[in-house]
Amino acid sequence: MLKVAIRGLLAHKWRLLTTFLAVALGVAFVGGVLVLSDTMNKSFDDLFADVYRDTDAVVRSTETIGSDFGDVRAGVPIELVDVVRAADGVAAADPSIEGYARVVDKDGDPVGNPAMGAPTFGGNWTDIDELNPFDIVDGRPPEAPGEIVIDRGTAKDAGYEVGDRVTVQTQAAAEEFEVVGIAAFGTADSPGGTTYVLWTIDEAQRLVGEPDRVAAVAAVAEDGLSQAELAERIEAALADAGAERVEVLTGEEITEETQTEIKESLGFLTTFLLVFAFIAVFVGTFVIYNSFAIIVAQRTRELALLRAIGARRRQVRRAVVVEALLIGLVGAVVGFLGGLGLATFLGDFFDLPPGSLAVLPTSVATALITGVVVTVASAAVPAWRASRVRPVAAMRDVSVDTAGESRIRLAIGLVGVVVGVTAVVVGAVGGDLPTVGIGVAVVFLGLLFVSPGLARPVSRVLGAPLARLAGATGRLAQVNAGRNPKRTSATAQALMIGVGLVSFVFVINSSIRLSIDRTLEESFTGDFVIDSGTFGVVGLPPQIADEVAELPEVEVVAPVRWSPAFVDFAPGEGDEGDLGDDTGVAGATAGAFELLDLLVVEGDADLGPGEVVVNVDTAEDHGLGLGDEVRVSFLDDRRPEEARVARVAGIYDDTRAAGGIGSVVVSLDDWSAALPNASDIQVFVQLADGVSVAEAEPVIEELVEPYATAEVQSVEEYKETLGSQLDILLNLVIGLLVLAIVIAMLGIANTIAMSILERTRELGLLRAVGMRRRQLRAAIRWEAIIIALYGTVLGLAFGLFGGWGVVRVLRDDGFTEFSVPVATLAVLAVLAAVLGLVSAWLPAWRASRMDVLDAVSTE
Amino acid sequence: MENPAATPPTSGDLQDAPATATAAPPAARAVKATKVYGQGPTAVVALDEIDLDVEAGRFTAIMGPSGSGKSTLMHCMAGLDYLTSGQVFIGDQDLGALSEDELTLLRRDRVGFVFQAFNLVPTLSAIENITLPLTLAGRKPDQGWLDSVVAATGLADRLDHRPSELSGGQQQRVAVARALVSRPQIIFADEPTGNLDSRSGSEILEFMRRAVQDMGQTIVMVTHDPVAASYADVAIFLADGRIVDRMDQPTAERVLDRIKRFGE
Repeated sequence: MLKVAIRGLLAHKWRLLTTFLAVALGVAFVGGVLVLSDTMNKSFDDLFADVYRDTDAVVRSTETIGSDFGDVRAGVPIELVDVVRAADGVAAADPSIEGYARVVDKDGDPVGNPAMGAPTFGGNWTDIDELNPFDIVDGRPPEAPGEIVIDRGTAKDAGYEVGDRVTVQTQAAAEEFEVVGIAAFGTADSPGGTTYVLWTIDEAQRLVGEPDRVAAVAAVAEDGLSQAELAERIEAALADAGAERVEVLTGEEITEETQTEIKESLGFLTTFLLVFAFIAVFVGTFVIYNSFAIIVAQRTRELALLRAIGARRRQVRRAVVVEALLIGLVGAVVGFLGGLGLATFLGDFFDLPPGSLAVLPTSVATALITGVVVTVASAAVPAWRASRVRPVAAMRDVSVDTAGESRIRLAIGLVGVVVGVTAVVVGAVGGDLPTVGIGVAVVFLGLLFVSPGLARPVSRVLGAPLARLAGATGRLAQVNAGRNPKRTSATAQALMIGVGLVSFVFVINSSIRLSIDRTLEESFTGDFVIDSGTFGVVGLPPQIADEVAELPEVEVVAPVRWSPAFVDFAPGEGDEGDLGDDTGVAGATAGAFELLDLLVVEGDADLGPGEVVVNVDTAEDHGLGLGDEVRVSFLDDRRPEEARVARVAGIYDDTRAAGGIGSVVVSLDDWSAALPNASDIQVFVQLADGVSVAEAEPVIEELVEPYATAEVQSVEEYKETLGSQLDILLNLVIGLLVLAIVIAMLGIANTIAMSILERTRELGLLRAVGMRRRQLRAAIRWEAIIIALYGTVLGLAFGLFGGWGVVRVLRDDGFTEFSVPVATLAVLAVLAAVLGLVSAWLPAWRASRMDVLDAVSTE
Repeated sequence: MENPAATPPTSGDLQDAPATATAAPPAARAVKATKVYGQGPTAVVALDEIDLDVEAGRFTAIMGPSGSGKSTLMHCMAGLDYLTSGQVFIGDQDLGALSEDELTLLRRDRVGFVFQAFNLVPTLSAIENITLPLTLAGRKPDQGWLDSVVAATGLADRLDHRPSELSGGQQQRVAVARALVSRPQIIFADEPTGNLDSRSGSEILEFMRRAVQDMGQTIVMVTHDPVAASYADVAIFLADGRIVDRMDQPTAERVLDRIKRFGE
């Protein structure tokens, strides 16, 4: 039977071309993502192995705090640098200071964007070679304030050379420096595309550090001393000096820890991409299933003959499974090779060093097994059906796949859809997200069951205008699309998944945008927002707010800050050493509450020194009332613990607006006392009476001109900025779903091509009685369009409903509005129809070229 | 599609079936029609310089044993297949001078077909099948003509049924009706009774016979069945790609006699 399977495969290899492509594309995506992930891990492993190669020990704080952007670690008191240097066994030690800094290019635009790509760092140059991964390739190291070394990548990007005067913006300021040297990172221009500005230690501390703190201290051991011994000796020296909350890591430990951290953060990217890879694979299963189902139906007589001459059911089944196995294997191998190409391409995109793909056996195995298992599993039902062919079918007339809709199936599906829809509605109204999620999944499964039953009526409806407009060709397309409901629906389902997800994302995006717009329109009473253009990743120097406040055109300036902090909601005796929970804390003035139209329900939001304002939820959760004490401690908080206690002076309602400012709002005076190098995330500006936006904009623009990252935005522009943040994600997700849609289109081409084969005689008859070639082509294309539209309609219904459920359930989390992007979705539907048309192009062309006589006389 | 106010098929000599005159020019002609399959020593001559005039308004049967070339001749005369040399005409139109698309239009507008099996589009109803050549051409049927064709099929009450819901004989009557509906210059029927029992077969033959007698249709039928041939006005005998005999007003016995002589 193996021979039969292989012969069978070879006999209709062209029929399996699309199956092969569906497997290969899915596996290429999966394999590409895995290889890319391995490669990135490897290159970062190498990178950090390089960075820490000669570092033997690192001293750092044990104090960390969780935030949305990863853990933040406190600094080390600067006096410990000398303690480490003096420790027994230390050959050399230098502090390391690192923070946000961006070089401004000759056009005044900042180089790189930490919100969109590799970080932009500023730090200290160290003269200890072992601790310095950089090598000067031009000029010299910085020796005095006002001098910098920049990495070669930045120098190339911005066109800077030694001797140029360059503006560098940090969180705290924007200043001009002289480039005295250009450094390379080993053989690379910069480490993984990261930009670097390197100052003397004092300058680095002033610009990106704290006056009396450094991020860490790195040390090199004397010859012959192991890393572990060195660490022990440094620990002892630190203990003698009475240092608290610091730890010593060996060079190996810090290398490994950094590598692990990077792997974890890359893991999110890998998982994110893999989700879409598996969606593509899942869509592929429909195509594979359909191919085998059609092939089995078309080979009924052959299979029956095999059975009649003595093949056992098991043998027939195995023949089909072996076919699937072979096609799956070939598809997976070719797909994986394609995945290597994809990984190379994406590697270039992410600036990975060329020619260094890391292909791990586990990735190869995962990708290949995925391809083979998916193909065989998809062919399982057709294989089973093949084994049910009765020998007597061999004696019957030509048999075509006429499997109709099963009533039981339809009933199960309808029940599923009804139950799912009910769950979504109940969950959405009741604010229960898991119920909505389950409901959406049930609706999806229900649709899979229902859609064969709907294929005929829906194609009748979709085709009705066609039959009227396009006459005979339209009428034929209409009836043909509904002819094999299972086939049509499996084809359409593949498209439904892609279209459903895309429309879901569009609905969510459009709803968020509308919600933001409405919220701003209703509650924001200011005229401008000054923003860093990094989605809050880094802030703006506070001077901006101060300078803008002095303009006569301006009435209110409201800077807002944000930071992770420890908050103890009930400071009291007996909790020394316990700083409280990790909580995001905002800093603001009364102006922010005014411009954001936030309702202060108790007390006031004047936010004098020693006062905090909390939102209603926080007050409720922690039983806070006016006058109650809370203690807010920042990392590296410069205030003594007793000075961190503040009184609740106001409680505000943030449920009406989109989120408010934050759960705990601290006064700017307290903030600055705690963190002298603080920066503003955003600055809201309201103009004085009688000053127009048009008048004020150039004045403010001119004022912030020296701060390259500051963007002055009117409310309209600000809406657009917020919206465009979402668009980046939207475009990414849609880009990743394109493959799923392409595979679905392959499925349409596949179904059409195979159906045509089945209808050879019928098409020949049509041609014999006078159907012109272009009429035939038109009929086939229309059929494909009907199938594509059917999938689109299912997908839109699913996407819109799922979108509604999610938006409704998240109403209290900022999704105040539900919005359907009608025009976009209409374009999507048209696009799907066009893609259906395109996918039928080749089969239609081939069908129209067939020999009429051959077709009519084909058995 | 079933608009009674529809305009009748207009002028165009295409529709003007030669309703009268036995003296009219032939409905179709073959001149030195030759068809060779393959090349060199393995070449098979299917048609060997055949000259044939198909008289308008008559029912012509083409007879011959398997491999005699009768089907090939019919396919070539109907514009479904190409000659190696020689000419075929429908009316005075030389088919060799037509492009693929022009041939298609000729088939649609001037030629009708009845095949042995698989004669109908399974997804269309009986009436949709009957009017298919007209809808393909984007024309409205002449309601009076359509009614009389439908009446002749005796299937007026089954017009909305799919082919699978009709018996073999009924399906074949629908096929003949489809061939008649565009009033083609000539109808080619390829073993139209081959798949039918003798009763259904005689119904079809009777139907075609009436179409010739009452409606003035020209029909060419390929068959190897002497009984079928006996419904025709004239029988042409083919053997080895040549016309070997011709018989007016054939009867089953005479045809059978003649066929028996082929073996000799």
